[in-house]
Amino acid sequence: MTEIITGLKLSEGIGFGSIFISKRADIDASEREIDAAQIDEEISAYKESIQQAHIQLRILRENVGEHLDEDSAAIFDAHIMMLDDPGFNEQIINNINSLNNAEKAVQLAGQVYITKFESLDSEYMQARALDVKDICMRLIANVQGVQLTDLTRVDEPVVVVADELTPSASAQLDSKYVKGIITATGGVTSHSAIIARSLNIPAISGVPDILSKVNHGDDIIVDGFTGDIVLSPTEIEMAAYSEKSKAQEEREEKLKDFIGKETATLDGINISLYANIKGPEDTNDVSSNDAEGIGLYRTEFLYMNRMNLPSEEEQFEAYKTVLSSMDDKPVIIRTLDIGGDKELSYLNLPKESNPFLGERSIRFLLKNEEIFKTQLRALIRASEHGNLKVMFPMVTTIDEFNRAKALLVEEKEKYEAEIGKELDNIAVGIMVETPSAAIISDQLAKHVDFFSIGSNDLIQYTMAADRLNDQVSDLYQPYHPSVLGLIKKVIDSGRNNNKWVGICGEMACDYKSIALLTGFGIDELSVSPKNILAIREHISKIKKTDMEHLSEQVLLCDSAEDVLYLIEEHLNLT
Amino acid sequence: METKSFLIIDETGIHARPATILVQTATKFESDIELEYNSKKVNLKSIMGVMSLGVGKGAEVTIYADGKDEAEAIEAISETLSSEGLTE
Repeated sequence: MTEIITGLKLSEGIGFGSIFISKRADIDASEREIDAAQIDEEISAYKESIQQAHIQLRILRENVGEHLDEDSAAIFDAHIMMLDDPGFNEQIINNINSLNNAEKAVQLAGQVYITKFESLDSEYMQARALDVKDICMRLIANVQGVQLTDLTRVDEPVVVVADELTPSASAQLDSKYVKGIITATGGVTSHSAIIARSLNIPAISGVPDILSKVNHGDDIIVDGFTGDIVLSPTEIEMAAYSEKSKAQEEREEKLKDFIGKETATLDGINISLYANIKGPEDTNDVSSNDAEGIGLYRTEFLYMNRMNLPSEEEQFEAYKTVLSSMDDKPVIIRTLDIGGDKELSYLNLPKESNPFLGERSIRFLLKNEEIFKTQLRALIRASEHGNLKVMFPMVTTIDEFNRAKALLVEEKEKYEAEIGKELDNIAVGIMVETPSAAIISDQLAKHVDFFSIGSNDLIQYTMAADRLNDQVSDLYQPYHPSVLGLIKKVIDSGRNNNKWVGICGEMACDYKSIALLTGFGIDELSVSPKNILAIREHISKIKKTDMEHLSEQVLLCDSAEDVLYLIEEHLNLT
Repeated sequence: METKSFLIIDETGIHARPATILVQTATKFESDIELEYNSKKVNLKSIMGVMSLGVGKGAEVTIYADGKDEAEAIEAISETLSSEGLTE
């Protein structure tokens, strides 16, 4: 019977194939008692396993060199070198001399390095632990005479199912035959996820019990758009997914026509279409999807998943990388936005009973000036490498903005004195996320250089409905006339004061709200890079004059339902 | 015994690729060669040892060579460090 399991999406696309189980000959090295007389035998078994591994790795390297870039193929050079590592070899021999069998001796020595690598600061070095595991598995499998999974021998469409894919297994992936990947563990930045995305192979992880649910050779469907895995699909389902996959491919092909085009309505009004990013790792997506700038760089990711604050230098490098990748296109970097649902455990901040109404975002930064100044300094230094605009999150009062800006000016002057030259002016704006900021936007507009409406928070604060609380989710209404009234107010204030107004958040990538925002006169939309081309197409089909008429009507509606009905009628979606 | 200290300026420190090349260079010499960072010393002919130090940007490292080709070894290693962009 068909069963659908939903996991974590790692790489988009739809794939079909028969299940290919890639079992790891885990570092589950069987432990055997050996006596002194067997030491020589175990040592020669170990030496033999090294010889075999050399041959296997050379062949693998040649095979993968044909369809992977040189960097990925170089994984095997590092592996070959690890085989010859004198320290590693010595430890293994010592372990055998202390009466461990060869497999156990390899495992013990490997574990020492795995622990060392995993304890290092950098994510890059931590990932090297997987390389050591990979090598140990290979040696143990060779000693035991077990064949390691060899993906290069696959010659029919398969979906690879594994606990986790080792670097050497990932490097063997060939998109000609491997149509999908499902792993029990592994995050979005894991090695296999990165390779899957670069080869356009749909991939899903976060399915802990997957290996107990599938049989080698059975049919399976992987939907990397939704994270769905369809086990034992019927023919009807196969047909439906194949249809979906074909439609998707055609759509993507068609959207490529919009690369290099301006974003403009049917009646010729330009709107800037920018991308939201989490860090330098997203800049490739930004350029391949032809974003016109970066509308929101969420710097909090630099501060998360670590044990201490990022240094000025580390931040400078990240900001510089992003700025230089965009040439002279605008890059709007938002200063640290923590609190609410985003915590930094290492700061040991006191628990608040109402975190969304507590000391978050700019409130936190103004109370923790040292943290704020470090970030501002990194931003100021990076501003020399591109077109930087700085944005403060969750401003409620003009005083908050002025104090934050004063700190920026002060740090900038200090830095200029140090380097003995003046830097270009840096535009400074705010996120409009609180009803207060929206209501006084006309006054605020006299101080700021731009507004960017953060729709997600603006909705929750206007409707007084916690966006993470399911009990009140029916009140979280993006189309409520109150929310729309505030958005219109902000856009009008911007226009009356010659300041541009953008929007980031879910509303910026919803077709219906885009139509409405166009009518209100929005200047910029900032969306996830993969949505850029589809939105450019959508905007090219609407007329601003039509939408202006619509935008006047919606503010008179009684409810979000009425608003939605009106928009759908206008867009002929009903 | 020859010894020389270096300041690492590469953004990612001694990561996999330069580590590989450093080890290859060191292996060509007969002398015992060690790398010291953060008061920990490892064999510079051991890729896993070198990588396990996690040498990052701004780190000060010292190379020790002991043997009959120690002077040449230090010179070759200095050259590799600089051609890989790890040092000035």
